[in-house]
Order: sequence, then C-alpha cells, then structure tokens
Amino acid sequence: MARLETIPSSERKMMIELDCSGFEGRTPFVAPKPLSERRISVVSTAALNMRGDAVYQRDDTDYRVIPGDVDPADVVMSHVSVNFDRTGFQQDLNVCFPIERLHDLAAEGVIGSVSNFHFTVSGAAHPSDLEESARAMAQTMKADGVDTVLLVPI
Amino acid sequence: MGGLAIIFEEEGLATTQISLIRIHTERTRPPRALWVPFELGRPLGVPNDKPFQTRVLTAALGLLDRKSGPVLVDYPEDVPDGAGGMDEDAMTGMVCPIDLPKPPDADAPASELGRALMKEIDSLAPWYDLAVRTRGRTTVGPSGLELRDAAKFFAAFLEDQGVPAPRDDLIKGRVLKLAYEDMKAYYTEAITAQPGYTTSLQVENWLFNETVFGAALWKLRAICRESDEEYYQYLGKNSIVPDRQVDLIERAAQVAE
Repeated sequence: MARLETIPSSERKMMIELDCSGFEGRTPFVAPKPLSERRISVVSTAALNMRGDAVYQRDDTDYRVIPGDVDPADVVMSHVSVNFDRTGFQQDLNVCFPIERLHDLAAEGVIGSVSNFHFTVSGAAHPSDLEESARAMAQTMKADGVDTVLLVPI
Repeated sequence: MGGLAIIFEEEGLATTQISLIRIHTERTRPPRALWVPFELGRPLGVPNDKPFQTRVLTAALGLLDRKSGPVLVDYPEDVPDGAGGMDEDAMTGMVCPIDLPKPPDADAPASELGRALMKEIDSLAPWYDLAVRTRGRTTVGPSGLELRDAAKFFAAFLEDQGVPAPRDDLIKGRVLKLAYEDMKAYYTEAITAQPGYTTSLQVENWLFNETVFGAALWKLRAICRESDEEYYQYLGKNSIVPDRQVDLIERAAQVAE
C-alpha cells in the first residue's frame, strides 16, 4: 500500500514534491555494539499523546512523552492528517508504536532493555523544524541510559 | 523521519528506522532504514499479529549490526491477503450488517442531518461497546468532549458556522476537527467489531458512502472549501475526507461521463 503507485494521484504528487532538504552532507554513523546490550527508546511521528495531554495542533514542533510502562488504553492520536489508516492503531497500538513488542524482545534477551521514556512528534512538521525537540529528547534519552533509537513513521 | 535519525545520530545515539515512503528515505539518507511495503498508518504491518510485528521489528533492529551506512534495505514480506488495502473491485457484495438510518438528501436542512446523525450514533453503540470490551481500549477522546456533545457541535456547525465551540482553550476549527475525528474513531471502532471489515478501504468506503456521518463529512468539506477563513480552507482541502475517497469519487464521475 505504501508503494507510491498505489497512492491517490493528488497525495502521490505531494509526496514526490515533499521538501526533504536540510540534511545534505550530514552522515553521522554511531559504531555498532551487540543488540543484547542496547537500551532502546521509540520515537514515533504519529502524533500520539497520552489521554488528557495537550493534543497536537497544525504545525506543532514540540513532542509528547509516552512512558515505558504505558497502558495502550491511555494512548490516543491527534495527528491532523486523514490520509493514513487509523483502524490498525485502533485495534492494536503496536502496529504503529511497538512498545509491547520491544518489551517482548527485552524479556527474551534479544535487546538489552526498554527505555522508561518514549516520544512522539507530529510528522506533519518538517524534520528541520523538529531539530530543537529532537535534541531535547536526546538529552532525556541519554540521562535514562538509552543508546539506541527506533524511529517509526505513520 | 530520516532527518530525525540524523539528529539523534549526531547526538551519539545509534538509530534504526522503519520507512514507509521510500523516496523520502532515499533523499534524506538516514544511517539505517528498513523500507516496508505496508499501508500508511501500519508501519509494523498487521494489527494483533505478534509474530508478524516481531519479524518486522527484528529486521529493523538487525540493521544496527551494520558497520557502515547509510543503509536502506527493503523488507521482503508483505501483509497477508486481506490484511491490508484492497482494490475497489473487491468491494462488490459487501453488506453492512448494521441497520443504519437512511441518509437524508444532500440538500436536507442540517437540523435533519443532525437528528439522523444522533440516531445513527445510537444504532452503532452496541458495536462500539463490543469493540471497547474486546480491545480493552478506545481511541475516542482527544476532543475532550463526550461523543454526543461532539456530534451536537459538529451538526450545529453544519447549520451555522457561527456556533460557539464547546471548549475555549483551542481555536474553534481545531475543536471541530477533534470532534469529527473522535466521531470517526467511534464509527470505525464500531464497524471493525463486525466481521468482514478488515481493510481500511472497506471501512473508509462504508464510512464515507453509506453513513449519515459520511454524508455530513462531505457536506462539511464543501462548507470549509467555500469558507473565507484560512483554517477552514485548510480543513476542507485535505483534512476531512481522505484523498483516496476524493479520488474514487472523481474516477466514478469520469466513468459516468
């Protein structure tokens, strides 16, 4: 479905023309370490928020925090776009925010551990405009001992 | 998404990501990315399929072993038949199992639409309740309004765009958007409690073409597109009805010609 040829023409045109600039020539690459030693935090662009937290507004560039022991029943979505499926999320948070799958892998020893803090932003914002938020999230992650980030789009 | 990965990597955090729009990842060149062929909104592929989700997640995490990058790998497995989007042709013969009220004419007064809307919401309540019981959760709620209050505001707005919003901490257009998105969540959670509505296109076609609420959303889209206010124009452009539904309507009109 996310193959471009299956997306409606108006939306496809927007996707093809989307500005992805701002990161040219930036090629950082952190050296590998065993997966079983990694502490992982999730960052989602699905504009998820805890029920009762401030909802996302158009052009928001701030972030929301999802605790590592979150109950899926407490997570809602306030993304402004209507051009993606939400019925999967309604049935199972993990289809877009795989927090329980990560805990499974940690329990099996595949990964080291799951962070106490995970984050969401609104993918409607340009990534360059999210830089300040991303650097703030990174500081929190490092304070929590995180060394690895799993990024999940919507 | 790829840009965020680059920022985190600059901060000394290793990253891996799922990619849904491959050309965006090709342009941004994040350190490690797994492109998946799944529907937008379902980056892990299939809801309630733990083995499938785990395979996708493990593949994305596996990229962390790479010694250099950028790395962009295509995930080889697609969702099982019937678990993703589907062609419109395959929709033939679908029958809604819920006896919904007949949508009023498009030209009917909004008050009539509002009454039909409330009746429709009531008719869906057993299935919504079943969905909540089965899943242990609902995604209705970002508006902060009780569903019927959200629906009343939505219906009132169709009749009179000057109607006050039921909360004053957000601009009215945003309250309106949250209200109808909560209603969409209520409807789609209810219908997916029924067998047969497993793909997003099935659900979407039902919502926008067979319900009073769908007719009202098309009406709201028209109102917003004719509005002088920028926020409503923005809503009307592509924040009420999915582009896919607009595309289907336009294609149908072309065939009719």
